[in-house]
Amino acid sequence: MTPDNAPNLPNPMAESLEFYTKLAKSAQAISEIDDDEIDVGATPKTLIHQDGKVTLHKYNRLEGVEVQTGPVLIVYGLIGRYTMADLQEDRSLVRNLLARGVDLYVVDWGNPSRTDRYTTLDDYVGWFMDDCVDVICEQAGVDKVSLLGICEGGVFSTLYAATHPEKVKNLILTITPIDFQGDLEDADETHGFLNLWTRNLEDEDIERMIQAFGNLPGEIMASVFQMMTPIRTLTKYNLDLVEAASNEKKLLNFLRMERWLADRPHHPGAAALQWLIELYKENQLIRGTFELFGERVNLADITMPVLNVYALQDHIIPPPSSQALEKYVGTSDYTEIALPGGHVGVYVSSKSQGIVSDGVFDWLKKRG
Amino acid sequence: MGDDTSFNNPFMASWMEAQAQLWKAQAPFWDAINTAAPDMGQTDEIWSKVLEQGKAMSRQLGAALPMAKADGIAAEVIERMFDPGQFVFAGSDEVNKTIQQLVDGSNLSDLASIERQQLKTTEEWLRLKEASSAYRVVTAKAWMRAQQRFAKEAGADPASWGQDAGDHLKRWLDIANEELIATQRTGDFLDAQRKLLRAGVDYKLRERELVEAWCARHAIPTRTEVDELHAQVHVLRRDMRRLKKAASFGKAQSKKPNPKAKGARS
Repeated sequence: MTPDNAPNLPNPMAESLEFYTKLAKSAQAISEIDDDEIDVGATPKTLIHQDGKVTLHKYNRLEGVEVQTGPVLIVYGLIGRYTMADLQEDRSLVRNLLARGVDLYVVDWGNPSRTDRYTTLDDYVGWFMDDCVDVICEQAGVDKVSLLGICEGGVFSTLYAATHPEKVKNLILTITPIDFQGDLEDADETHGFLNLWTRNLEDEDIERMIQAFGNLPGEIMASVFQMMTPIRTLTKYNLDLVEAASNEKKLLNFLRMERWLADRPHHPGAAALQWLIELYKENQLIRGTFELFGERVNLADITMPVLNVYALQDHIIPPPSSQALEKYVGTSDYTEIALPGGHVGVYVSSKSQGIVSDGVFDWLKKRG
Repeated sequence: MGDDTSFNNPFMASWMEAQAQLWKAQAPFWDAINTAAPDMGQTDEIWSKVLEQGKAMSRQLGAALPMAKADGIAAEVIERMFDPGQFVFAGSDEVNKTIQQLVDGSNLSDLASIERQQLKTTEEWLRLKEASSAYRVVTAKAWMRAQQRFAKEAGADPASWGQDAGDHLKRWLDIANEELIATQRTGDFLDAQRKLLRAGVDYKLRERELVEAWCARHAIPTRTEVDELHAQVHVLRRDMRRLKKAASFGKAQSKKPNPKAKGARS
């Protein structure tokens, strides 16, 4: 080694010192954060309906903002919580839509336990959702509601729109699986592991799991999601966190996301059987064989305008899985918005914020 | 550190726990090996080879990469990343840990320890441990492939890697990520994980049988009986909702599809 090239080499001691300084500051910063500061889903809202664990809230209008649209119901699924759409003040689809004058509601399925083992998708769609829509119609003095479904909640919204078209004004789907074997059309190896993983299970594996736990444990879903990004999982709590902790705002964002990720409810057993076997494994939705309350769901009965938002780098719901909807709906008023980024990025990425809220609002405004 | 309140913060606590899990990840593997069936010797042997190869690769990399000799944090992280135990538990082992935690819960903690020990000698328990070890071997092989690839690429053109330890780390993480994701899509991995899940569930159900037999002897309601009760309550709630709807909206609303078709499946 010559003196000339020595300066090009990093100084191990300085590098080590820098990291441990950051580590110490990270620990200090984390320890000083009050639990209340890590607030998710904080946009003010009012409870207007409750049935057991299921609650329906109306978001409070922002001061000085006039309502520009009819009522829109946000429907999240049972894998994760609706707070994804309202993670933090500056990255909140909820706040962005309220700011534009959308009359917004949200249904929260609560935290299902073993007592909810026998609750089916039929119940979530034909019972709880239907009651929420009726309550909104009554309160708002309308006979139709627009639905904004997210992920599994998008499937709920699709099922509801197909079985209750007379009550749905517009159908907006985000990151929603429709063709559960759409991953086979996606060449990206990092996409669609959940589809592959589920297809590899035998029906009996799933049935015995539900028999044993009474539900699809949130912990299992969380670990499968972690598995999809193995190195990210490995480096998240050391390299990533230390980096995030260098800035209080970044750290709070990191912790808010952690809070959302940790809040992963159990999926009621009977509904999980339908979700994993009838939809993921048997792809019944696009095959036209899926039934709610004994009646087949026909996607061609979706005759209202449809907006379908998906993420181009979505590793959980591969784009072809969402895009398939166009082939099956019974409306020519079908619009797609393809967003850069991944599954969760649609809601938390700073880049997506304006695109999604503007896209949804503009589309909605034209249709009332 | 008497005034240290950091562990009172739940996020700090979970962060510290994650650190501990990350850097001391080898111990659970050896626990699993040690408590597994006698015929786990083969797995043990495979794992020893993995460790030997890991050390050999580390030595090779030490010669090939200038930064591997440094003790900067990136180099240190690289070194830790090369640790087979670290890799085996990275991401891909989350399902394994989760299943073990779910099935090895507190159901039997109130029973006599002798009964718990009896359970642990059941065929299901051994099968669970075998499945867990077999699954970890599949991921260990992925680590070996990643390490070989990294060593080959680094050795072939060390100058192209730059001299920043961060570059090496990023390259290593990229390669490891690619190998793990590719492995996750193989039949070996998927089958190993399916067998692990099945073994965990089978053990859980066998455990319940034993507990329910004990409950029955002591006139305590069983899980199965409570589940049956929940099923009945659910049907009643459905019927009540349907009747309420019918009353509110008239007879036309009551002609909605009869919700008897689903719900029995579980």
